[in-house]
Amino acid sequence: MRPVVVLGVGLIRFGRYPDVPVAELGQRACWAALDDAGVAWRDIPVAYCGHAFQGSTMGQRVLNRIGLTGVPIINVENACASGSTAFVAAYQAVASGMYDVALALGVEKMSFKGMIDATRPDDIERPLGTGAMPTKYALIARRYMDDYGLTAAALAQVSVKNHANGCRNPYAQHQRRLTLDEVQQSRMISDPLTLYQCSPTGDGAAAAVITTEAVARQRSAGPFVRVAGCAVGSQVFVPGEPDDISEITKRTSRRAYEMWGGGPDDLDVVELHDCFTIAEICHYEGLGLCGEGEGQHLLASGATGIGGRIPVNPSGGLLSRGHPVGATGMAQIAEITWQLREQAGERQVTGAKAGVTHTLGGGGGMACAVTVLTR
Amino acid sequence: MTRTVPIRDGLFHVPPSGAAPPHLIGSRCDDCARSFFPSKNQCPRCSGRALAEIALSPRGTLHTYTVIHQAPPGYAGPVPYVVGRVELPEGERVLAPIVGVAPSGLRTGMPMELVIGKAFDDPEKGEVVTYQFRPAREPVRP
Ligand SMILES: [Zn+2]
Repeated sequence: MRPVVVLGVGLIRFGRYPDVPVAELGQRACWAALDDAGVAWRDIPVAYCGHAFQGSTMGQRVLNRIGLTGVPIINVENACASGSTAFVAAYQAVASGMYDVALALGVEKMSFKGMIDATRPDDIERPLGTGAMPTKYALIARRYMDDYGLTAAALAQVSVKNHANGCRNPYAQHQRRLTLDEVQQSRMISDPLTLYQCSPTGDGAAAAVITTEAVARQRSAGPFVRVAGCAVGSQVFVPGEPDDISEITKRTSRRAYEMWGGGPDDLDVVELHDCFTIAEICHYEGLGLCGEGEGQHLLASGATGIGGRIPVNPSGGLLSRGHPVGATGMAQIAEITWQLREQAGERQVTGAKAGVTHTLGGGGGMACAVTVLTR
Repeated sequence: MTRTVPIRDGLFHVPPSGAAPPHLIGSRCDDCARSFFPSKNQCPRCSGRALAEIALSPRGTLHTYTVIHQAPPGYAGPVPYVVGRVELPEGERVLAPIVGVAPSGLRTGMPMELVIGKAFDDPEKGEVVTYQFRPAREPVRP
């Protein structure tokens, strides 16, 4: 495999764009990534587009607006991990030697949707009302609270932290500081998860241009943001846990770490899949930032805040930056790239040299994508 | 008398006139002995294709639960409502509506038993019934 670097990234602020077609949202993100990379669309030989709800040939609908160049455009669907899976596919295309440059895009318009329901029309969970995403994570939360003595207030603190970070991110959907009281007093969705402990749905798009280190060196002296490791995983059988989110995160992140040759202690910054507050606590553990059952203590210690030992979700995460599902993974790639280039403004993690992105897709964890970027 | 129809065929069995308690219909893998609910035609653990229908134990313990205040689309019952995972002796954790207990009375680990009860009223079909769990009562001995 050849060394691969991130040449450019771009995204649009996540939020609600009722009057802008989804293809134009994607187009704007591609413009930003192409401009950042200093590459013209006509010089891109292959593109991967991740989305979950936009119907067929979404990538073509975006990229045909930019120019009909005839290149392969490959659409990727892995629910909330669609964008991050598209990035891994683009990495494989370049690392393998098949292409010298690739564009990866994540795009989603879902402000027309309410709560995400993981069920299919003929699933028994639909009439029983048991299949909504907040329900799946509320069930995980309740068990975790009883197993490890996590309190409702400690859980809600995840949202307080991530909204404080999102206030420093001009691309975040919710740029509003929330108090613990506001988070806990917001409308109950699925106990113990209140409204502000659930990531908002919205519209968004994010993109990246990647190339080989050799091609990048012809253009500048660097330093470059390198794709040090990446992995996509699906489920294994976990007894009694059809909606497992922990085993898949552990196994997929270990594969990415192994490819990198580093581990959780070598990371400086993390963007992980905080679709609900409990998810962030569980993923501290799954990614190896702390031991099992220690997630709440890691949060309470301040270690995962900006300025802490291992800042998590400096962008605001899904809770504050927003979660237009197919775009989320690519927004994480953009955030870690900026952090490693020291271009993250008010939310910069000082001296960040290695960062990881982590997304989960499907009811619980049907798909997981993890990427390690280093400088 | 109200006409009752199961929410779906093949999920549970109610023996006539209370001869025995109702049970969930599951399947058990011939190769690795894992049991599943609902029934599967192939084992996701070992990929075995030979699975036999079994009557799952009607009792288990409450592994986890939540009180849902905002119902997803497609649900036609009362709100708020309780949903939980009940761990059966066979190892499967069944996601099901929880009835017969106030939210303040819910505890993980509490013994539960299967009941068949109303899910919602369908104007055409009648009363639609489903599997549910409630806190286990002392066995009634004649
Ligand atoms: Zn088996």
